[in-house]
Parts: sequence; structure tokens; C-alpha cells
Amino acid sequence: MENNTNQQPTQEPVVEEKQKTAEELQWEEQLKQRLEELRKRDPFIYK
Amino acid sequence: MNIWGISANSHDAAISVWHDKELQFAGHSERYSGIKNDGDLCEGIIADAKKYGEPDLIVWYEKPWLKTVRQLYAGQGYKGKENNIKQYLSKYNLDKPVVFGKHHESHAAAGYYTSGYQDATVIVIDSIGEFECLTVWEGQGNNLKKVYSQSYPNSIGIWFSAMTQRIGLKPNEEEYILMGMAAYGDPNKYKADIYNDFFKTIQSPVIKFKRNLHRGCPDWRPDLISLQDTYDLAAATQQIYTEILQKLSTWARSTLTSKNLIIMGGCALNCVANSEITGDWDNVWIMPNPGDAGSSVGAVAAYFGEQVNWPGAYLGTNMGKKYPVEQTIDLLKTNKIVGVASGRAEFGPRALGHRSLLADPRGPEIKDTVNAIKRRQQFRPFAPAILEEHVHDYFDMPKNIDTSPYMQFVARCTRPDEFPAIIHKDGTSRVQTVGKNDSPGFRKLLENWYSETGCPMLLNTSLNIKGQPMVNNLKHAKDFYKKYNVPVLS
Repeated sequence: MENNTNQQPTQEPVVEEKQKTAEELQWEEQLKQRLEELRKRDPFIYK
Repeated sequence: MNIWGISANSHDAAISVWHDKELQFAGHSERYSGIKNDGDLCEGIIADAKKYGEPDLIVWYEKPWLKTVRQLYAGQGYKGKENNIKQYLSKYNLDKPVVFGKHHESHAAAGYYTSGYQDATVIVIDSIGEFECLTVWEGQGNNLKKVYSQSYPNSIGIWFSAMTQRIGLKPNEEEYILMGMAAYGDPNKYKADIYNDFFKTIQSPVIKFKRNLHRGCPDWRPDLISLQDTYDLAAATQQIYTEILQKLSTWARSTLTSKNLIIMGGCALNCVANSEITGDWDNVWIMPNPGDAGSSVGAVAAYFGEQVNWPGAYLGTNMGKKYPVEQTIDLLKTNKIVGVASGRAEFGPRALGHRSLLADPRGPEIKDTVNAIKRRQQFRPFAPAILEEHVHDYFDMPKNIDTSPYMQFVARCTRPDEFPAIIHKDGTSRVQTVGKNDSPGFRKLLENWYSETGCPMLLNTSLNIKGQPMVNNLKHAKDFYKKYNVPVLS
């Protein structure tokens, strides 16, 4: 029978954050800039 | 008597020309000016339209003064001068009598009076015209009666465009890219957030919003900026739009009497959502240009107030000449890919064989070959054009839909391993069926291709230089060849 008292505390699984690709980083940067511009200009979507 | 229908001075300007109630021509201004979604008329389209007759009367697609009031109410300022349509037309030497339609009535009439149905329910969903954003109509014989209307700022179309802008795309132009991106995301991740933050009431047909989105929502959830966030937001937006359309469809089917549905307005281009509601109806008709450009046809149809002969989508610039069937097949065999610019241009946003880049859809390599030319993002799939009688051998079509001549529905491909190039991430394709009554030249091309290869379909994407509207004439075709070194037959 297993002796539970000797059991090591359960370790949190280590989740490695996926490295972002150049395409993903570029998208993120562009989107940030676009939204920032829109917030400044406050344009109407439609005439 | 010649009547011109015109939609312009906003976005997607277009002209239709009618002679004795027969539709002779319909063209989209962007094809002539080279400016995508061009809101203004230009010399080229007017010259082309005049080939079919000078106008005795012009029918404008909406009420400019009512629009002026809405713009004032919306905080866009007084635009009475810009909305002086007589002056606007005068700039193009179109000093003719003008009558004015209503924005949503032009949409509804473009659908109903071209449908050939004796009765129908018409759902019009767009961003905004004068005040109306969502209307439901009942067609009976020649009578078209509005039964529900929802006004600005409660606009499903504006919300969809605001979300398009929020994920970094161009509103009022790139909504179809959002639809394509949706297949890469998790629709459930932000669906509840979007419902909670934007929607006040969804009790069909009443769809009300918590905030006016006419200025977009660039401030909403600034933390969501990664590419995967973008996909997840696109997926949630698409899913919510589909659920709204399903609710409207269920309500309309249970409340109104007709078993025929017509969807119009810019939102009718959402082929993914359209495919989810077909089971409610015996027949579904979507005119191939359901947005504002199509209202150049609808305004005149509403003026007549009766069913008109629908001659099909090939209504634009006529490049003449016989469809180059044999040369196209020869080049497809050797080159795998070829452009065709022949006959009359399509009226609508889809290339249907007359201004198309065509390729052999078999095998895994062709997608990269076409992508190298089109330089499109991976989330934008290519589509198949298939002989109508073979569609069920390759695709599970939406319920009650046997034909899709204008690419308005998506269908699951049942042989995905053979045709990876024409299948989207979610396993569907935006199918064009080509029947005996559709383009005779394109039909003949597919028939001959089938008899020579055993394959009844071709990959079909629009013939255009990246960022520009579709090729319209011989000069544009030559420009395409110079740019990409892909032969264009005409």
C-alpha cells in the first residue's frame, strides 16, 4: 500500500509561453498603432 | 424610355440602365476608376452606361434630405450641400429629371422584384441609409409591404463594421476578411463579453445596442491585440451575427406566411451565416449585388413596382469576343493557372468566370502558386466553380440549396484530400455552381475541362492586382499580365 505521507507535493505543470512569430509580433504592433490612431481621430465609420 | 438607376455619393457608386423596363447594363464605379469601393461616379462608367442609352429619367436610390437629417442627428454636421443630388449629377453633365427612392426600399426591391417569386419575405440588413438599419418586408404579387423597421443607431451592420475595424481591418470594405479569419478562432472565448458589452435586447426582430457604434469601438478591450485574440474576436463576431440572423429567420418564418426568403443589404454577403438559415425556407434568393451598388437596380425596380426580368449577373463592361475555351484549357494543362477576361463583367463583388483567375484545383501545390500571385493572407480561401450537376458529388450543400450561381453560400467539401486549395480552415468552400442557364462560355469551359480531366471544377478567384478592384477591360488585363506574368485570355 502506498504511503501517502511520503508523497511529494504536486508540482504545478510548467507551461512554456509560446514564442511569438515575427508575423504575430508585426500584427500586434500594427493593430496597436491603428487603434491608437482611431482613438485620436474618432472617425465615423459611415457617411 | 431610358431610365438610369444611380447609387452614389456615399460608397460603392453604381449605375443601372433600363430600356422599356428591361435591364440593359449595371456597372460598379470602382471598376472604372480603379478606386476600391469608390463612392463617386466617374467618366468611365458614365460613358459605358451611355452606350445603352442616354437617360430620360434618373432614379436615385435614397432620400438625400432624410439622410441629411440623420447625419445632423448623428453629429456628423450639416451636409445639405454635399447631399444636393441635382448639383452632384450636374458635375457629370447628368442634368435630367430625378426621382428619389428610399434606401431600404431600394434594397428590398432589388431582391424581391428580381427573384421571380410570387411571394416572399425580404430581410434587409445593412449599416445605415437614411435612418433604417434593419427592415423586414412581405412581397405578394407586385406588392411589397414593410412589416418591421429598426432605426439608427441600432444597426447590426454598423456593429459588424465596428468589430471589423476593432480587429484592424477596414470597415465597410474588409468585413469578408473578418468572416474568413473567424475559422481560425474560438467563437466562445469572447462571445459573452461582446454580447454583454454591446447588446441590450435581442428579442427578434428587435435587436438593440447598449452603445452607438457609428464611431467604432477602438477603445473596447484594449488588452486584446494578439493575432490569436484577433482570430477569437472575429470568430465570436461571426458567431453572434449568425445567431442574430438565425433568430430573425426563425421569427420571420413563424410570423409571416411566405416560404421564400430574400436577404438583402450589405450583410447579405455573409455567406457563412446565410448557409445556416436555409433549412427554414423552401427557397432563398440573394441578388448578386445585395449592397448599395445593387440598389442602382433596386431603385428602378421599386419605381416600376413590379417583377422585372432578371438577366443574370453579367451586366457590366462588354469586352466582346468568344469565351476562350480551348486556349484556357491548354494553358491550364501546361501552366496550371490562367486569367480570363471575356464578355460582360459581373455586377457584384464576386468573379464568376468572366473576370477570373482560374487554376486546376487538384493537388496540394496549387494553393501556394495562386497565393504567390495574389499575395493573400492564409485566412482568405480560394473558391471552386463547379458544374451544377456535380455539386452534390463533392459538397454537402446547405439545406434546400441545390445551386449557388453567385457564391452566396458555403458547403462542406466531401473530398477534402483531393482539393485542399479550395477548402477553408473550417472544411467549407464558397461554391459557385455553373448551370446550363448561366454563362454559356464559362459553362462550356467547365464541360470541356471535365471531359478532358474527369474533374468538374476549377479554382476560381477574382482577377485583380492586389489592393485594386477587379479587372474591367483590356487595358486592366494587360496591366495584370505585366505585373504578374500570368497570361490573361480574352
